Amino acid sequence: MNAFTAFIIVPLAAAFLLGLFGSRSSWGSRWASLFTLGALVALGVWELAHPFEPQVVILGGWKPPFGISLYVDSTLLFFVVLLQAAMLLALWFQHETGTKRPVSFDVLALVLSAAVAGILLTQDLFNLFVFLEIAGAAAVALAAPAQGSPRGAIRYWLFSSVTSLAMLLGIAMLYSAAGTLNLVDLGLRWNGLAVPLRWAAGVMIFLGFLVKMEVAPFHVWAPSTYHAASSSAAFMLSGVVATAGALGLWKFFSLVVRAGHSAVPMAGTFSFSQALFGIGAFSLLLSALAMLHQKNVKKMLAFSTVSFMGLVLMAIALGTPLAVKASLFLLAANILGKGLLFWVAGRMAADHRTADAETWRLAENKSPSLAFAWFLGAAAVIGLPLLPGFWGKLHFIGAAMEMGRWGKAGIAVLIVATVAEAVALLRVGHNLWERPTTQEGENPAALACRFTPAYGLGILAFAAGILWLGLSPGWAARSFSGTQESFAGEGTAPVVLTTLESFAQQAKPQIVEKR
Amino acid sequence: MNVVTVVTLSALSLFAIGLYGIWSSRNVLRWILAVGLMETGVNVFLVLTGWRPGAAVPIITRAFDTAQPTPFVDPVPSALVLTSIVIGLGTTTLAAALAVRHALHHGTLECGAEPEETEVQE
Repeated sequence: MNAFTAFIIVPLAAAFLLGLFGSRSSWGSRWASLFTLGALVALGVWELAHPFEPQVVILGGWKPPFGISLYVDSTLLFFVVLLQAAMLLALWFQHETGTKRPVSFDVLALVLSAAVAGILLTQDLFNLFVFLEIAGAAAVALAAPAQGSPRGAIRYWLFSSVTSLAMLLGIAMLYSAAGTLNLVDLGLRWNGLAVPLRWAAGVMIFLGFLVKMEVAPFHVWAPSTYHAASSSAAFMLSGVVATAGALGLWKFFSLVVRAGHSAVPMAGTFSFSQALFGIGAFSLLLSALAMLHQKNVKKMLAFSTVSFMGLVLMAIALGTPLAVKASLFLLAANILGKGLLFWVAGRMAADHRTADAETWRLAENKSPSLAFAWFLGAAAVIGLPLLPGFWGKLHFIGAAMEMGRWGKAGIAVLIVATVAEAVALLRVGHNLWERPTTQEGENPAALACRFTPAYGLGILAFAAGILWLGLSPGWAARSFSGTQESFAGEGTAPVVLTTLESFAQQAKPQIVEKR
Repeated sequence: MNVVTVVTLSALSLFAIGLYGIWSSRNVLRWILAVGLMETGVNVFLVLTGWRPGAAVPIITRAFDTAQPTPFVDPVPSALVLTSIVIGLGTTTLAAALAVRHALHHGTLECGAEPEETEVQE
């Protein structure tokens, strides 16, 4: 077994075993799930510490384009590790709050971990769909509150199911015309397909990704779902599922629609690039403005995710090497920054039994550490200098400047949205910091925040990640540069060449004849 | 009108009927049924993509003449449909469980346009 397949197989196997035996001991189930994810993170860090060439991992002996293969490079592995670490911390927080959770929560979290690793690594379009479906089903189940109304989760299921079926229809249309499901092989045949078919299949496949990414206007389920879900489950939706959806969309867009070639996307006739850029700008602006009117912090963070994913979509749509780098930095900033914000929001919501920021303002005995953690998470998302969001937004502006009117309009939208988002997030931070000033006869909420060592460890982990990526972005920038060259470099992309080599290993004459 | 056109129209009709079912109702059970209809439409379309006129079942037996091989139906869509059915079973079961929870909590399967505010989770 290749070590990279462990990121998919091990969590699935652990989930299966926990499903069978986990109910015997909730303590054992808790630590088994944490140990599994911790071991995978350690394995990933060990692999990343030893430089390796991008490679195609062939599964089951059926070589591509006929069989399923994985494509692994340092950036994709970095995101697999980051997402597994995010899942580990989300589970840690869930257990740390002390609330009794069924074993199914651990099982679903492990299934979700396996699914997002599959989304990031697979090179097969149908396999990508399967992993998206598994991630979607696990996310819906995680989002359903232990007590209370499941309406938010039902709405999420409905949106996810309908768009996934549209995606499957699009995949079937592509397969009937191209006769292959391998992303690289599809990309090589994309320009030979009829234009109406490309549009119909492309729109339906993008729909599936956009709902997972939580981009407006496909986000209407998100605020109520985040509100009803536990904070760790909401973070899994925001930091893990949305990121996996974005990276899945990026792979489909760069390998199939752009056929692995770098080009100027904003010129010429109306294209997918322009459509995605427009949707991204709409999502970025609309949701940032919606944050200003939101007092419920969990709903505010939902809108923040929708807004941030809009910016990621704009960067993906630009498609240039610099824009690819921007989108990768932005995704890392979203995972780390949102992690910190949800940790604080979750603790405050648990202690005060409300997510209303105004009630938090009136709380006594506030913890400065919580306020500091909130400000750091907010700064990472907003893009304060020398933090991950800053590098992402800086690269985005650099890429957009090369794109004429479209790019400049995008920069204007980004500035307005960043100001709105900063006002909303910093206002909540102020509520966490400020001592309550009450009117006569009004009593501040006499509640203190529990700040346990285990809770502080999670805060420290996210803060360390933010500071590492922000203050020393060199390693990530080098890794992302390698991937931007692989997926969006000049000429035929290296990812295509590497995959074609793996095709040729099987039976070159037959492949040539098939083409 | 040939077979391919009839089956394609049937598949797309099932998809469209399911979509209309979702749009026209707020009942969770009807949503589950409508999604099931859409899923069947997509599966029929997937099977169709592998069909070839006059082609045989893609199973090699002892009687198979390697000197003069007959054309096979593409077996890949059948495998995809099997996977799709399994995924559909899983998501339908999940949705049914959520519908039961909804009925127990609200006393109805009607899912309002705006979910009511629930107590915040930690």
